[in-house]
Amino acid sequence: MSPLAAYPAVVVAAGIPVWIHGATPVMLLSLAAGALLWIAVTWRSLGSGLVGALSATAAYAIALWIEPAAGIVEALAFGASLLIVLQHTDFARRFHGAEVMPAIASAAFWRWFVTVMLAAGAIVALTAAVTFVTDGAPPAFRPLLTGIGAFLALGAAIAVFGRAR
Amino acid sequence: MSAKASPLVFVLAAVAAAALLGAVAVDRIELVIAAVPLLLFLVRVDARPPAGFALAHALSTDRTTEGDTVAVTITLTARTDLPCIEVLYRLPAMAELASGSNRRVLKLAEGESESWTLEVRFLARGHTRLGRFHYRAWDEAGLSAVEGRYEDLVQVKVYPAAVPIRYLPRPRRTRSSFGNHVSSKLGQGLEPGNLRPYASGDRLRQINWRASLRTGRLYVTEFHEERNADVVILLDTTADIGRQPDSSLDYCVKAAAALATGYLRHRDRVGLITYGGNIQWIRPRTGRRQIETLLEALLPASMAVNYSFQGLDLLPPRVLPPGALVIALSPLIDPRFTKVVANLAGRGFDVLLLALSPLELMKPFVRSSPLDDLAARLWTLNRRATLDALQDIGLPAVEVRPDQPFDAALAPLARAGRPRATRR
Repeated sequence: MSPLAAYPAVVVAAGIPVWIHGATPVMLLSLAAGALLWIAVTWRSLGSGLVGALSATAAYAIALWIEPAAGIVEALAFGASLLIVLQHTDFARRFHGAEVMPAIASAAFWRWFVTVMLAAGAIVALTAAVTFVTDGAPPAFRPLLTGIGAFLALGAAIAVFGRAR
Repeated sequence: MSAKASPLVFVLAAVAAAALLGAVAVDRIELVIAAVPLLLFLVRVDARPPAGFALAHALSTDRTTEGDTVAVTITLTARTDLPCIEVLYRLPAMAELASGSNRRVLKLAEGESESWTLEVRFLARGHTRLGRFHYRAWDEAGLSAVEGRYEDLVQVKVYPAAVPIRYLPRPRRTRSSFGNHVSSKLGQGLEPGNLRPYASGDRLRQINWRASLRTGRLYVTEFHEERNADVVILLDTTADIGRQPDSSLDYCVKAAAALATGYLRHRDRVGLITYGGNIQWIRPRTGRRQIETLLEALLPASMAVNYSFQGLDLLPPRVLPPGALVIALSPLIDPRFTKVVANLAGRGFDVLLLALSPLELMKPFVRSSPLDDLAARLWTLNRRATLDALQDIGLPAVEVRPDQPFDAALAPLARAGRPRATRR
């Protein structure tokens, strides 16, 4: 992980709420969030990163509340930028002062990239499924699709909790 | 070993929860989408971090001197896939990292091994143990870790550093064995002595032609013999001021090591008496092995608390040979040591007192205030009076400041010109 990736992510995370709507409370919250996230990246403070991310989320929520028109891409970029800032801060905090093999840092970045890609894929798939169910599928198929969805969710929950034990 | 979750888990969960709550509050799907990457990151591929590995370390040497470095090669062999393992090679208190890194984060596949070398500098004498490892094995995402310790202790002997001395105080009396000190006895040697008329049996190369031509009679030059001497270093361990590695005892031990090495290079017999809780000694001997014996004895020297007075009267002559040069090293804090030194001088030993000034060692620990300054001045006067009293009874006493080179402290003794050695 490199600060070169984290600092632009701070700008994105603090900038997206202002870009959606530049109201004064949004700007103030975004400014505070940007400063806190910048402190988190620079001084490896996960606490500051948490407060900064919560402030950015609050600013984003207010901007969405004021502005009815917003996109899915911005939302994904906002989540991905928060993830990379927090992940970088934690990485730098954990291994500060240690000699880190380059493969470790590239693996962490690769994991972030895969996560974002998976998130994008999941969002696209869910959007397509919702569109298909609400508009395309015949009403008779809806209980069947709900049953399949519930079955998959139950299977995923069992898999996750089983592994955790 | 149980896996501990990283704080990142809680931070990501808190931010995702806030985003989901915000989504409900403002009734917007975008906040749910923003939470998706954070929640997906928390879904771990493998919840339990693997910890199958072997650690080993090898030292370039197990004997060194203060200020020198020892190379340590650490090898980590993975028995299972290790996506991220952090290894800390803990250094003891009186050691520092000279080069390399003692904390490394590695990624190894099953069966792979990785070696790296670091250099450890030892700051103080003593027996030091190396080989304490701390490790932390993380899972692929860095969300949970298994911690542990591993020990493979190796003892390193750190000997006091012996700086070379130019001005070694000359002993007043020498022994009968060959050495480097010019004896008062005439015979075979390099230092010219008296002239005397030629006698039958004298060698031709001994004839002093200049004197013979001037007087018209044959004269020969006599030479002073070169002999060795007995030197006993008396180390005061009744008090210690300052903090390792710059305490008064450390300074005295370094001075003792330097003196012992210097005299042994001059082929003298050197012994050691440690005056503290119990009197410990090393008999005077000569040779390279004696250097090691003396350094080994100086290695664990530490302050010993004892309330009884023990003189050196009962020490056998083989430990304290009659007429030996006794070099006493002390911060002159305990009056018992002063009494012992005065007794030795009274018994006819050639005693030399090197009194280390403890004031400089105290300064870092004492705040500068009028009262402390006054106490320091009184203490200085008291020490001066003690040294003067010892000089009055004919005992050469030199005050040594820890901030000046030891060689410079001995220079006045060489310049003052101690009398030429007489043979016992």
